[in-house]
Amino acid sequence: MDPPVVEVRGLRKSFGAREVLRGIDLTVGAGDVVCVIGPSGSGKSTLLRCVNLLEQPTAGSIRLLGVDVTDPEVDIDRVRTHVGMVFQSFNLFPHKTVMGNLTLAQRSVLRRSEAAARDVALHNLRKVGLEDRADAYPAQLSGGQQQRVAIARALSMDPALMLFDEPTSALDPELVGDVLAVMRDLAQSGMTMIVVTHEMAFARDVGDRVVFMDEGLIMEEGPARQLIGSPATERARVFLHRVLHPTDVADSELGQTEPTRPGDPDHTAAGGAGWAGPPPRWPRADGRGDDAEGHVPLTVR
Amino acid sequence: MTVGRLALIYSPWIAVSFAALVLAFLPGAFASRRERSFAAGAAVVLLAYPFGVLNAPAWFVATVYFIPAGGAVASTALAWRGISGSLRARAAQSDHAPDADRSGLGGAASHLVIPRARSRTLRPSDRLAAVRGAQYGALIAVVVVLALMVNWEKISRQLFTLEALGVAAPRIFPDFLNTLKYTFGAFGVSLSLGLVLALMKLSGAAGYRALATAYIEFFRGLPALIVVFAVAYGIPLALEIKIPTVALKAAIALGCVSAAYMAESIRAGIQAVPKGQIEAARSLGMSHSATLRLVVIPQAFRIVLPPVTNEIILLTKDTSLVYVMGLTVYEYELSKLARETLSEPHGGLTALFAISACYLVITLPLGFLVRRMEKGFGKAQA
Repeated sequence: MDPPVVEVRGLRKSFGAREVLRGIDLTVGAGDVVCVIGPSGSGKSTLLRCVNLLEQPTAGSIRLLGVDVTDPEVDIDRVRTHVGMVFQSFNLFPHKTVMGNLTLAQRSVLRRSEAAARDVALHNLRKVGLEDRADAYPAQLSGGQQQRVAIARALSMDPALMLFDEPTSALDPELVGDVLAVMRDLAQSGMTMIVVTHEMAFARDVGDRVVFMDEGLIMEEGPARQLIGSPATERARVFLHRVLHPTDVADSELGQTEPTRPGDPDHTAAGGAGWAGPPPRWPRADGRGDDAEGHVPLTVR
Repeated sequence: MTVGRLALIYSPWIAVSFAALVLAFLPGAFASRRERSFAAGAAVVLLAYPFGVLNAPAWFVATVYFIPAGGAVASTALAWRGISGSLRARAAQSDHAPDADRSGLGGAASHLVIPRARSRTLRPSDRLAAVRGAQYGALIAVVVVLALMVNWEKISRQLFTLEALGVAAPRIFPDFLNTLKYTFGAFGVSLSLGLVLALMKLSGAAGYRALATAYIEFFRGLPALIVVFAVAYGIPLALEIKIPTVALKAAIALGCVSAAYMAESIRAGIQAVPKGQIEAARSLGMSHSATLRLVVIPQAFRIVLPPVTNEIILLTKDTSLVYVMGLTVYEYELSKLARETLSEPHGGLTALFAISACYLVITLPLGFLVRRMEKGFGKAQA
């Protein structure tokens, strides 16, 4: 049995007084495709960014490929060469061509020769369908093409784990399919992937597991088809219903699922007058009461 | 105060007001109380002009009011178009329904007469044509008047005598090279020191940040002349060292001052590189220094290029301060040469003119080069 690629235990992250992750436990095995879904503000992106230490966790431990990255002695740059990340805003280097983007890290970090780096780069560009645009600058490409180049750039480091932070959220709807196709091929070739996404169809068809997060906690976790087809928790059900049927919102339900903060008044259109008490907390599938029903803690660990 | 002299004094205003007077006959001109009172005030101030009363405000008011509102002969023709157009519009209007229905809403709403401002009787295209005519007309009028006022004979005598130039001529090119030497020496010091200071200001160590801030505030607060004095006389005295050449002294002094400004520009450029770039580079496993070197600084360079060009141009002109160090004839730079030649008996100003041209020879191609480079970046940035 392969050791898990990612092991997150008790992860907590606070930005100042605001606790964004309130205790996350997650295990990702080799070849797993885990899709993280949830409302905005739930901490999905923060979780992903903590995995490759773009954010420093406040508490808890993260083990990547057997290495404890929360250990202050760890050489994080070495670890990151095995983890590829794809961002919502692509983040291609504008001063380099596509080929330059793909070979820059290979040459400076992995110390590959120019020829070897170009070979790997062309191979990955072929995988994403862009080998004819190798000499273009990122600004000359469309959003979908830029994101595919970003995926190829991450793949050129031969990572063991790929992290995707809402890769299609900034794309023209027609181009979303190209990027999802590339991600599907990657998943089918056995890459371990953690994908934060709003594309439920992708999560259901390509994902092995889906993790539903809300307010800094994992509310529900399960096989993709099961969670998206028939979620167990009420919160997940409401979320999926709203995402998959956006025109189904009644006037009385306006603002019901806005992210809540302490002291926020009741958001519903009907109950606009006065503070009707703290907003209801959604009960969790595994029955862990305390964290779910308490208020958002203001102390920083 | 003869009539002829009055006419001469008032000639600019007569020229530019001509079309204003014509425009005044258009329906809608001077319609608002504000315009009328402004015109009246301007007239009073202008009338006081030849008697030396309120001279400065007179110039200001007249310029501000008459040049936009007036024009010259060219605008008259366009203004005439406007007049005839509006006369035609008036004629056409009287053929239509009674005034009560001006709003065009029909019988039921005929009590809703929307009052039309009188100035709207000019068609928009005519109005634009009149305004453009006024603008160009004013420009032509000012140029013509200035040309008439200038004493060309005297100017050519003072600024364009080849004789005076002949005295300075053998030194112009060597001193031009000296200016370039001092400028680029100072620029070298400024860029390297500025980069170091910028990185210090951005560093994690609070001590480095404090030191960099202190340096920048100190050298931005002092006039460059004082620093040149300090380096030329103060430092050799205090540290008991001898700085061999004027070029080195100039490079140190001007470079230190310029580095303070350069550091702030470079720091702003580095901070302007989007955070996502750094995140992407770090995610690929690049170290902090590799990220800075390969991703951040190349992008910051493009952002920082306009302020840096500014600095070079300012340095070119700051080299004129080098004279306080005490220069031999072979160390003169352009401004010192100009100052020396000014005291020539015949047309010393000529040299000044020639030397100004030399300065432009440095700064204008620099600007051109940088615009070319920016366009090159623009292609990559699209």
